[in-house]
Amino acid sequence: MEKVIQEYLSIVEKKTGKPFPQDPVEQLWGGIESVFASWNNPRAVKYRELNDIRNLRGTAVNVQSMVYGNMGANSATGVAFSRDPSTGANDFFYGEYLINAQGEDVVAGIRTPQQISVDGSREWAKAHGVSEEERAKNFTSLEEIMPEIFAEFDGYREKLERHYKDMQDMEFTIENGKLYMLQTRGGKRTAAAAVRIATDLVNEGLIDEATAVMRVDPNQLDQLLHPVFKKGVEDEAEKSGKMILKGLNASPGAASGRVVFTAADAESWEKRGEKVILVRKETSPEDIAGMVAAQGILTATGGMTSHAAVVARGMGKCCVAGAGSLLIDYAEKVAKIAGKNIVLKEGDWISLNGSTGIVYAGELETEDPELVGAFSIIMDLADKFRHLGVRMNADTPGEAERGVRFGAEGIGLCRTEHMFFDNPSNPEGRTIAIRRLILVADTVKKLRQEYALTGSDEERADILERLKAPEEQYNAALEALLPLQRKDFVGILEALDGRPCTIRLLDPPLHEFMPHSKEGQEEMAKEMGLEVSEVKALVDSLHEFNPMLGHRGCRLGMSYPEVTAMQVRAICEAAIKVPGSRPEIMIPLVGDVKELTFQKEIALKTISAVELENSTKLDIKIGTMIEVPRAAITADKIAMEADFFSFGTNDLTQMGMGFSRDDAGRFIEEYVQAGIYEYDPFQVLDQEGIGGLVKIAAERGRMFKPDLKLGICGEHGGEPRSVEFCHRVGLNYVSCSPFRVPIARLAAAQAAIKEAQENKA
Amino acid sequence: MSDTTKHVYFFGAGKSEGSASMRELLGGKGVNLADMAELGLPVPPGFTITTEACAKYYELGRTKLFDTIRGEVESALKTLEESTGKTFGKGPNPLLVSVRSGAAASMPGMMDTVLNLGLNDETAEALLKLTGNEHFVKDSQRRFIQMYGNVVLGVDHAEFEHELDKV
Repeated sequence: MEKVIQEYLSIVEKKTGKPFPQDPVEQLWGGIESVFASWNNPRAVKYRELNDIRNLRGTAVNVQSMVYGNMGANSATGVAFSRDPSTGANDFFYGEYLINAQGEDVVAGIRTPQQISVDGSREWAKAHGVSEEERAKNFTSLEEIMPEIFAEFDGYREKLERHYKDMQDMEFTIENGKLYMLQTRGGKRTAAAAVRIATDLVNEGLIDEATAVMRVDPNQLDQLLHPVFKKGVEDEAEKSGKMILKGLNASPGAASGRVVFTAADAESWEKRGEKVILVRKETSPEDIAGMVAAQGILTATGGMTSHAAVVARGMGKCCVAGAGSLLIDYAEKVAKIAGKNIVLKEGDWISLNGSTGIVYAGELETEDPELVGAFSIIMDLADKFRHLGVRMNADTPGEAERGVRFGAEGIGLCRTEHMFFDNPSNPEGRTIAIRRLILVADTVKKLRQEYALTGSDEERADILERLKAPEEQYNAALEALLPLQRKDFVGILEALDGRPCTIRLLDPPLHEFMPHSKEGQEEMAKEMGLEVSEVKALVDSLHEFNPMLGHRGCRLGMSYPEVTAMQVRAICEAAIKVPGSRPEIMIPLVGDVKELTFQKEIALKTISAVELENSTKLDIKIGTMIEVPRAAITADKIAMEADFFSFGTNDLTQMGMGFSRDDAGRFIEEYVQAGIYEYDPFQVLDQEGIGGLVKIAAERGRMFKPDLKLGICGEHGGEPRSVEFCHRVGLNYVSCSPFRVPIARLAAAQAAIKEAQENKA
Repeated sequence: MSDTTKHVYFFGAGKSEGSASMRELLGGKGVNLADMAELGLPVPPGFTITTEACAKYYELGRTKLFDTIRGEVESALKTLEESTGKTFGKGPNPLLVSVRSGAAASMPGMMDTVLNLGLNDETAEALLKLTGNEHFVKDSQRRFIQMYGNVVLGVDHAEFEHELDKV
C-alpha cells in the first residue's frame, strides 16, 4: 500500500510538474475552487439543460468534518431511500451499504453492495439467484449485522419523512459502530413511484390533496402510458456497444422491429407478420398506413413538430425524429450512420427509445407499462382541482376511444385530411377519389369562371360542352367521398358517446394527396388510365414555393366550395345517424372575417338542406381556427361570425414568429442556447409573442361575444407550461393527442392550484 | 469598499446558522444538513459556502473572491476545530474534511467532491498514532491522493487505475 501511495505521488508530480500539495490550507482552497469550477463543467451544464434547471446562481460548497466508513469491520457506508424509488412501495427499508468502505464505493460498482433490511436482502437474493444460506453468509443485511444501528437509522428515516413530508434519499456512514447522517434530499423516482407515494402520503395524513397533485411531474406521466423496454436491457445494449444513433425524443415509448424504408414495405411486411420500424428521411400523409403498420418510426430530418413526430404522438407510436447522422439511400435500401462504420440494411433489427431518442442495434425486449391504481386516483384528484377542460386531437374512432379512456372530454381537433387516404382498415378507394377530384378541380373552376364572364350564347354552349366531362368526374368524386366521410364521422361520434367533436374542414395543400415518387406516379397513372406524363404534369402544377403559406385551409374552400359543402353534409348526416352526438364545424386558416362568412354561408345552406330532407333540426356550432396573426388581431370582427375560436398554435407560431416548422429545427437550438428564446417555440408556447396574440384575440373576441368558447389545439395543448398559460388567459379547454390527455389534466390542475396559492399569498 | 455579505454558514449539533428557507443560498445539501442537525440527527459538523460566493467566483475571479471570504472560512474552520476537538493540519487528533458541491436543484454526481482532505505526511503520522490502524490510514491516503489528484489537479483517473492494477 505504501508503494502505491508513493507511486501515486510521483504520478501527480510527473503530470503536474509540482509535488503533491502538503499544506492542508492550500488543499482546502484547491478543493473549494474545484467545486466552484465544476458548476460549469460540460457534464453539469448538459445536465441542467436536459433537466431544464434554470436561473440558479451556482453551487454551494459544503466543508464537513470527515467520518470514516473505512475503519474496519465495524464501519460502513451506504445510501438508502425511505420508500422504493421505482415502485413507491413502503414494504421495507430500501438501501445498500458496504462494510469498510468510503462514499463513492457504493455507487462505483467495484464491490457488490449489501441490502440494509433483511426483507430487502432476501428479495435481492431471490432476484439474483443467491441461496438463503449464501446470502446470510456473504450478503448479510445491516439489520442482521448491526441491529441497533439499523433501528436507529430506521427511526431517522421516519423522522425525516415526517419532517420533509416526502420520500427521502439518504447517505450515511458508520464509523466504529456509530451512525452519522451525511445527506438527505427528496429522492428521484419513477412516475409510478411518484403517483404511488403522493397518494400514500395523502392516506397517511402527511400531505393534503393539492400537495399530492403538485408532487407529480406531468411530463413524467408519459412513462406510464407507453410500452417500455424491460428493466436493464438498455444498460446491457449500451455496454455491448449497440447504441448506434441519437435523434429527438419525438414520441415516447419503446419499439423493436426490422428496418423498412417505405410505407408500402411497412404494410406488406406487417401483413406477413413481421414487426417493422419505418425508417424515412421524413414522412408525409401518404405514409400514414405504413406508420400504422410499423412498431415505431425513425426519421433523419424534421423536428418535434414534423409530420412524423405529430402523427406518431397522436397514434401513441414510438418515434425518434431528426436523427441527422442517418444517411438514407432509398434506391439501395440501406442507411449509413455518418461518422460510424455502421450500415443498416432492410430487414435489420433495430430498437427505438422514443422517450430518450436513442436507437439501438438489435431487438430489445419491451413490456406494457403497469397502470397502478394510484395513477387513476391522482387523475381524479386533478379533475377535482382543474378549471380548464381537456379535449383530444383525434382522427379515428380508435384514437377517440383511447382518448376517452385517458379522460378526454371530447375532441378539440378532428383532422379530416387523413380520411382521404386509404388505410388497411379502409381500403375503399379514398385516395383515388380525391385524386380524381384534384385532377379536374382546376379545370372545372376555370371553365365556370369563363362561363360567368362570357356574353355570347355560342361561347356559352361551347364552354358547357367542354365542362361536361370534367364536371361529371368532379361531382362523381364528391359523391364517392360523401359516404366515406359520413362513415368516418359516424365512427368517431359513436366513440365519443355524446361528447363534443370539433371537426376541421380540409386543410392541407392539395399536393399532399399526390404521389411524388416515380413508382407512385406510375401506379396512379395505371389506376386512373392516364399517361405517367399527365400525372407528373399535374403534380408539377400543384407545386408551391411556400406550401404552408399557399393554397390551403379555407382558401381551398374558397376555390372549391363544393368540397366544403360535401364535408358539411357528411357531418350533418352523421349527426342524424348518431343521436345525442355534438359535432362542431371548424373553418381553418381564416385571416379575414369575410372568409369565414363565405364558408359559413355554404355550411348553413347545407345544414338547412339536410334538415329539410330529414325533417329534423340540427344544432351544429360553427367556429374558426385562429392561426393567422391577422385573424388574432381582428378577432373582434371574426367573433361576430364564430361560435368558437380554436387557437392553432403550431401555425400561429410559424406565421407569428416567421419560423418555418420544417426548417426551424436546423437552427432553433442555437437560438435557445444563445438565450434569445427560452424554449423551442414549437414545443413550449412563446408566451410573450404568440401568447400575446392569443391574449389579444381572446380579449377582443369576448368583448363582443362574452360567451365565445375558446380552446387551443396546437401541439402546445399537451405541454404543461403552455397549459398553465391557457389557464391563466381564461381559455375554456386545451386539446392534445390522446396520450397527453392525462398530462394536460394534471398540468391544468397544477395551474389552478398554483393560482389559488398565489391569490392567497 | 469591503464586502460585508455573509458567505459562510456553520452547521452542527444545535449550532446551525442556516434554515430551511435558505435553499437558494445554501443549496439543497447545505440546507438539509443544517436541518438534520437542528432535528437532532447525528450530522458531522461543518460549514457551507454560499451559492452567492460561487456567483462571485465567476464575476470577480478566484483571487478577489478568496480574499473576500478568507476570513469567514478561517473562522468557520476554527469553530469546526472547537466543536470536533480536532485540529486541521496537525496532530495529535487531526481534522480531515470532505468538500462537496450542492446546488439548489439536485444534480447528483454532476459536480466535484473531495474526501479525506487535510492529509499530509504529518497528519497521516498523527492519525496512525491515534488509531493504530495502518490499513485505514494508508487506504485514506491513497484515496485522497487519487481523488484530489484527479478532481483538483486534473490528473486522469486512468493513470492511477493503471498503477493500482500493477500492484
